[in-house]
Amino acid sequence: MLRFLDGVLQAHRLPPTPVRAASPLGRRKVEPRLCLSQPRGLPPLVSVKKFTPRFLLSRPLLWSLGLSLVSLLTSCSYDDIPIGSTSLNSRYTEEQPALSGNGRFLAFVSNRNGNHQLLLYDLEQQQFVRISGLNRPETIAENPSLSYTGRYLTYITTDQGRPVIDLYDRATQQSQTLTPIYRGWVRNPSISPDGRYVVFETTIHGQWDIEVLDRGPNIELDIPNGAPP
Amino acid sequence: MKSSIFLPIFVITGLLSGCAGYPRILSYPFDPGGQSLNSLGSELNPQISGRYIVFTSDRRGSQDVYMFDMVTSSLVDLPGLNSLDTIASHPAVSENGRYIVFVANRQGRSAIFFYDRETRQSRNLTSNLQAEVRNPTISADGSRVAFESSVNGQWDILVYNRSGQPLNVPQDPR
Repeated sequence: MLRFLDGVLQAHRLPPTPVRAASPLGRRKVEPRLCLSQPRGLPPLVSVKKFTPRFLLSRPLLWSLGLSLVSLLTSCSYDDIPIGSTSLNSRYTEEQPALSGNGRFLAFVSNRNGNHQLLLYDLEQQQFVRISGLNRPETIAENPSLSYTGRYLTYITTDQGRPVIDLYDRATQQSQTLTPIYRGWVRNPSISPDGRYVVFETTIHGQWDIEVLDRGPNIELDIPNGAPP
Repeated sequence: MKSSIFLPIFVITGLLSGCAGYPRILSYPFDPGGQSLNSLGSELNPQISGRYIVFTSDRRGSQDVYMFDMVTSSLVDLPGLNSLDTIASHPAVSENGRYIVFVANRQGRSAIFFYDRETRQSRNLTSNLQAEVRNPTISADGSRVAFESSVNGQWDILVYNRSGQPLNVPQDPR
């Protein structure tokens, strides 16, 4: 809501732009008059007058339209944190809990606020943690799993209807797909506490089997403070 | 003009090095005899913590919990965890491989069991919870257990500590 209000305010703040836009117009108005004063003046001057009001309005109108569209689009993105509630459970379904390695964070799937969303709860502060950019409007996220301090979050989502395993990094606030070219149905991913390995169920051998994915030695490991790497 | 040559070069080298790199799928030997990670039976609900992967498999004719050690590439014995009259599902293990939580379905009732590999004992964490339970998870340090319960007529999440005491988490007034 706040974002939307901001967008409206921006749209209202726009009118100063016509002033700026008017100044080049003034010059343009002057130029034709100067050249028109030498031959016969009147008919072209009228045509200039017809031309100017259209120009004067169209520029700021286009700007305000564009900006208000942008603000509308940004305001339509999901708000991750349930407003006004610090309660872990609601009157709707909460399922698929996943604890971080240190036991502080709890990721789960909830149906509150009228949509299926993945939420992250801080058990120490007893409030929700913002995970912006994870819940997207055109798909759902399922089966969360957390690393030791809750930095990495793996979950199942769909990419054009195909199930894929995504990894969300809370440090960069971005998701990446771990199985972009994997040919097979995947399910139930689980990330190791240090964040290097991800195990998941796969159908690639004709039945449910377990696959282990190695993210490599060059990733930033999620290890507790003071622990040897 | 010359700098435009470098862009495709960088792209190509990046692509080439990316092909040999990570993330990649590790291959563990497939064993029809059932001594490895995958077998002729189905393997379900894997969960990784440290060097251990716990999962359920029906490779011996009943659905049981297994634990695989990634370092030694072999199964770890879990004496006293699986029993004949019980379906065990959704296991989760702590990072040191000592504690395993799982759902056991016995005599029509489901319960969250907490298994200690050192004492070889399973303890029922939800014996005084008159409700269906499912999907348990344990933190890597073994301090907390979370699971779903139907005690309020819908699936809600409960968080317990290791000894089975509910954590004080704010709940909506009902």
